[in-house]
Amino acid sequence: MMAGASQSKRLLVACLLLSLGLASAAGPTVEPIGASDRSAAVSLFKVQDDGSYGGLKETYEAAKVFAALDSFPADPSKTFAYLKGVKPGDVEAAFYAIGAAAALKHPEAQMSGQILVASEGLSKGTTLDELYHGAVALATAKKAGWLKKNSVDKKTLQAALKKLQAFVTEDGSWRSVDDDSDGTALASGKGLEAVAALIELGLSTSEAGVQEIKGSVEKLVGSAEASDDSFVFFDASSGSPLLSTAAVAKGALSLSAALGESLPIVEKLPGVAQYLLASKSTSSPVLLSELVDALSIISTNSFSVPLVVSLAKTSLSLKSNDKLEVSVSTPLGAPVAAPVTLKRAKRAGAENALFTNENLEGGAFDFLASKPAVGKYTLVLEVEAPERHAVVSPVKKELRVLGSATVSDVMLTVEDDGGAKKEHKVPASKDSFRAAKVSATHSDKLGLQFKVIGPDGAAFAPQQTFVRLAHKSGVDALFPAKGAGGAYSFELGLGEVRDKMYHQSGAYTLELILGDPFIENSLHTVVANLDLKLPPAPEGAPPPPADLSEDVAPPAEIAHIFREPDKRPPTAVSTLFTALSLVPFVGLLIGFAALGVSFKGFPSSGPALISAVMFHTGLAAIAGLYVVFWLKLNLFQVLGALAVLSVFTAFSGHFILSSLADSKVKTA
Amino acid sequence: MAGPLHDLKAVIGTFSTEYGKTPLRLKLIDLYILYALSTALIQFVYLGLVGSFPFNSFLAGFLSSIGTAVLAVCLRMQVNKDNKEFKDVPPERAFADWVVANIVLHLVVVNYIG
Repeated sequence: MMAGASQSKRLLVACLLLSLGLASAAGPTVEPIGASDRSAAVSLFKVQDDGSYGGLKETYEAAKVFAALDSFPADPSKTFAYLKGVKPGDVEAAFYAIGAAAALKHPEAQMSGQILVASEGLSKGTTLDELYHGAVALATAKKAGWLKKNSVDKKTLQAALKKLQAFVTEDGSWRSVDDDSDGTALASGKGLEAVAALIELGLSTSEAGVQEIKGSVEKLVGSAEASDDSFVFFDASSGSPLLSTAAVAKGALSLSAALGESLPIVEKLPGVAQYLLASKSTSSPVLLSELVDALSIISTNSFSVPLVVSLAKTSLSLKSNDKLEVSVSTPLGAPVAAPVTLKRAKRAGAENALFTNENLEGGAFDFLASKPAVGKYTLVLEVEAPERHAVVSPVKKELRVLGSATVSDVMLTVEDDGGAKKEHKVPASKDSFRAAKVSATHSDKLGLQFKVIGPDGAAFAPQQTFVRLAHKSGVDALFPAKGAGGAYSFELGLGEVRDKMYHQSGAYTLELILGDPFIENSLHTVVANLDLKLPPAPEGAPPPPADLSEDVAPPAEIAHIFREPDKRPPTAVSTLFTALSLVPFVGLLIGFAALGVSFKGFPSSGPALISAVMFHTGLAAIAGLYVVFWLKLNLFQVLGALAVLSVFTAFSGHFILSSLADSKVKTA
Repeated sequence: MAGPLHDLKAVIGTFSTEYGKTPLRLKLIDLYILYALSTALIQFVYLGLVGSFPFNSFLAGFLSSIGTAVLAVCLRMQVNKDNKEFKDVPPERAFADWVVANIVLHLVVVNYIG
């Protein structure tokens, strides 16, 4: 079946594009972190020979992801050894080292060097980053039990809080350095997390500064942006909104947890979780670790865990006994028992809803029991969130119902120019046809009639219905078959396709192609083997292409034609002629000398001498200007300079020449 | 023997004696014209033997020489005392015109030389 491989390929691509288009029309999908995400995430991080994951920061990111997804490497001893060997440096390195060791559940506390650096960073730090790294590293160490009692005193904490307060701006967001710059969501998240860390380290929550910062959270959360899809995100204008949103969620929730009270961020969590899940990407380690870390804090918070509703299967086949399964889980994929109601299920294009108010017992529903029509259904699901959980409800989901179609009553007719009709029935079972054998000439008319029946037994109109005529050489032509109410008819005068077939006689196949996004058994089959007798090609007709793969082969590379540089004579020749062109000038000088030129006429004193010198200087200056013009200046610069010089030369020239003329008149 | 060669000798002899009476000023201009024309000729020979690239430079150089010669001819006509047509034009005025014309000509030439 080499025949018309190119055409079929094109058709396939068209169908693929179509189905992709249908899929993307549904908008970004919101699915909880699943098994595929887990394996993709874990495989993104590869342990190196030294036990790190490419560096200290990368090791921290890997550890955070492993901890959040609860899938630790089998043997982390190498990584422990690597972390143990990290020399204490700056506070950022201490933050990564302590964070990675704690996330990997390092068995023993060997972080005293790093902890020292972190506490120094907290007491001496001046930027938001230094204070954040110091505070969070110490709080992490405390949680891991590596901090000695009272190793961070109250005064240090109060001083750090005071420094942190300077970063809060009027609108509740934070800036990263203490100046007049605007705040960013990313810095706000870090700031709030740092304050939460200070509280965990023992700072009293009744401090005025803590209360003030608590108040600023409301303003910050109020600045969140919301999209039509009920997504909530922060700071789309500066930097990555994914990082910003994750940072704010993390920071505000940490502060909520440290204060033990629900801050305004909690109401926004369903939208934030939806946004984070819709834009999840497992390609960048930084994005992934921030995303998963934020989702893990969101999924385990004690105030209100947002729920994610997802379908086990987004398409159901009528041939199977599949049920509609709706699962409710936390963003990290832990299942949550919650009653779900199918408020409405309506097929696109249908007038009435198929189902209304159906309870899903155990999250499952026999959607196919009533043999619904194939197509795309919009489901409206209502989820009742249990206590301390929240959900964006109702949820809209898309479900595709697929089925198979059958082709029947296939009839092939051949009508000659006298109007005599010959009919050939093509016996068809479900997917296979016994191809008819027919011979015809260019004056005959070929006809094909068939019916398409949908899965429900009614007439069905597939999205794509084509008839293909193909010669054994691979030359082919595609024609759409038109029909109404599931009955299709196609007619083709064989005389009209002579040119397309390059006037080739011989064995042809007539093929039927049916395709539809909701039909599982798309069809491409031969309905007739034809023996066509076409008149020979007229003179001058193009021969059939030798190689049909040319059709899809890349076109010939475009060769850029540059102007070839002109031929230049050898340097010696040019130099010779340059010298030669100077010879007449030498001749001129010799001639002048022979004729007895003198400068007796040149004025010897008085204003005449001055103006004569000025005049000649002016002329020499103009000549010099022309040389510079040739070498570097443009015309406008030259015209400006020339205007000045010519006025100067004209005045002096007029003076000297008229005085010469006058003196001549006197002597005469 | 006294054929065309003799005649030619006689013509040249007459010419040189007659030309000897020409004022020095005009002889200088004649020499200058000769200089300009022979420079033009050398450039033309170069064009014939080597080629016209770069053509704009050839045009600039060649037309500079020819233009110079033409301007010098004009100067000579105005300076010549025997030429009654220009007897009202003092030679200083003619020289000034010649200078101005040369400045303009060579501005164009340099602009064209490339």
